[in-house]
Amino acid sequence: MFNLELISELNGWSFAGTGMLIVFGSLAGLAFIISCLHRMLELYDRCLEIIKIKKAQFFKFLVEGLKNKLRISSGLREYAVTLRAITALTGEPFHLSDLIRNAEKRGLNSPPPGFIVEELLKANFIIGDDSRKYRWNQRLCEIVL
Amino acid sequence: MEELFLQFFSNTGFALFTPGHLIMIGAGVLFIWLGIAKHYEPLLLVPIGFGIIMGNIPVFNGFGLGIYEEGSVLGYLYMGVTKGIYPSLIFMGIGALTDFSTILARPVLMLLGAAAQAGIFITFAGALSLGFGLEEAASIGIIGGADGPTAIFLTSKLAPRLIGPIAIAAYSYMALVPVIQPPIMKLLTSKNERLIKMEEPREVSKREKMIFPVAGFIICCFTAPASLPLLGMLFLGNLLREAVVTERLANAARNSIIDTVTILLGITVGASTQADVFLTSEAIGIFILGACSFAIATACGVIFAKIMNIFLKSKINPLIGAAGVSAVPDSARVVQVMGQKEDPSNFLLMHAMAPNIAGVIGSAIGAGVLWSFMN
Repeated sequence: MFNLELISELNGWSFAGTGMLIVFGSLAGLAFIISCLHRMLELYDRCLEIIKIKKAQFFKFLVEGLKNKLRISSGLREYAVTLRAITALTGEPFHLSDLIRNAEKRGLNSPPPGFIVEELLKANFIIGDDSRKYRWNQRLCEIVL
Repeated sequence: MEELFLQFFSNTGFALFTPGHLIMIGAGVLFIWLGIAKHYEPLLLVPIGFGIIMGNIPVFNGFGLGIYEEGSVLGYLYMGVTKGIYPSLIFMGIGALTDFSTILARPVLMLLGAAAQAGIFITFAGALSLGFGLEEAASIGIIGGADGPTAIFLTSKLAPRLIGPIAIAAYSYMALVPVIQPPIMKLLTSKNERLIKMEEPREVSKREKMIFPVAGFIICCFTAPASLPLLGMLFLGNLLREAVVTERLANAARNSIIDTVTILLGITVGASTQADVFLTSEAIGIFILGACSFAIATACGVIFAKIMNIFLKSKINPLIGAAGVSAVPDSARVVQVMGQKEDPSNFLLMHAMAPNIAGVIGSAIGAGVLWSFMN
């Protein structure tokens, strides 16, 4: 009753085998992608959260900068620009004593550079590192100066 | 006057009646009885049964009454079948009715739906060995997908003359899921295996449910583009359901549209089984092969579940493999009943829905693959 040769004649084995493989492969692929879906969504959520935090930090920083801008006088701002130009020549990080000495050498005596540097430290324009050296707070300087 | 009476009588069903009509009308009555008295898929069997009776009322050829006659009302309605319109609309309804979260919670269970589709291809080879042509064998094999709309869709594309017997076979076996599957499931599993309790599936977010129909559609149809009419509508229906904002459309798809189309599909498929077309040795062969296809698909699902258990840490109950033969949601219900017979505290329904839905997707892909092979 069954004639297996008929299957071979009509290429039936290849059709059946390939068909099975395609169906199985498609569903296996879909299963794999679905299994990754919730992890990808979690990752996406985490990225969004990080972006949100960074955004909040940036805005906080921006607001602080603007507050500083309002707080510091135009004279101090000009002085800070000059001091920044001096450190651009001498390089960063720098010792505060070197900065004050270089400022005095260039005739910046009134008001005394020590006082100005202290003000800039308070306003976070100059920030220190572990090795007791200092550098300019670039982002704040870009916004305010 | 006597002549007029005789002429009228010669055009009535009593004069045109053949034993074949009687057999088919009997089959129609049986379908209606199975649907109403035995509750076997009543929504399908009642319209199909009535359609069989409609199609087998002996009518005079040339009156434009028969489904195969040009210009007949039934013929126009039947175009929804031959053009593949009804199956696609039913798939949209199924999509709008189905919650895919079980698949999303444990995607590995989709493999059971894939394994059960082996029945389609094994039967395809079997039909070829019995002397059927490639197109006919493909149409017969798809009965193993246990998905009426898919079987009708593929047959309408490949072997339209076999739509009647294939649709009747597919829907009959879908209705007989509670009779056909349990012995096979019992034969292939031990008591201990049937007692396995599965882990609770994880909670699935609404966002996942909304992304799945789009992603699933793209992946499936890129792989098997010929399954686009069926899977496109299935996933669209599901997207309408999950998108929330389209609740009205989802409601229409899962109620009025699917109900209307089911009535039209049932009536026209039933009416297409006219005795002269249906009562052939070919139809009997289709019925036998259809039963084999269904049994093989069930067995493949169960066996594959057992194989998966060798590798899985969290064991699955192999009974759920039987739900891979689509037939949503009957085969999942059979799994639940079988599981509860062994242990009333074991609830397998939601686990079985995953291979069940995968079976729907798999059989549509299978149909698409066979269609593309034949072209």
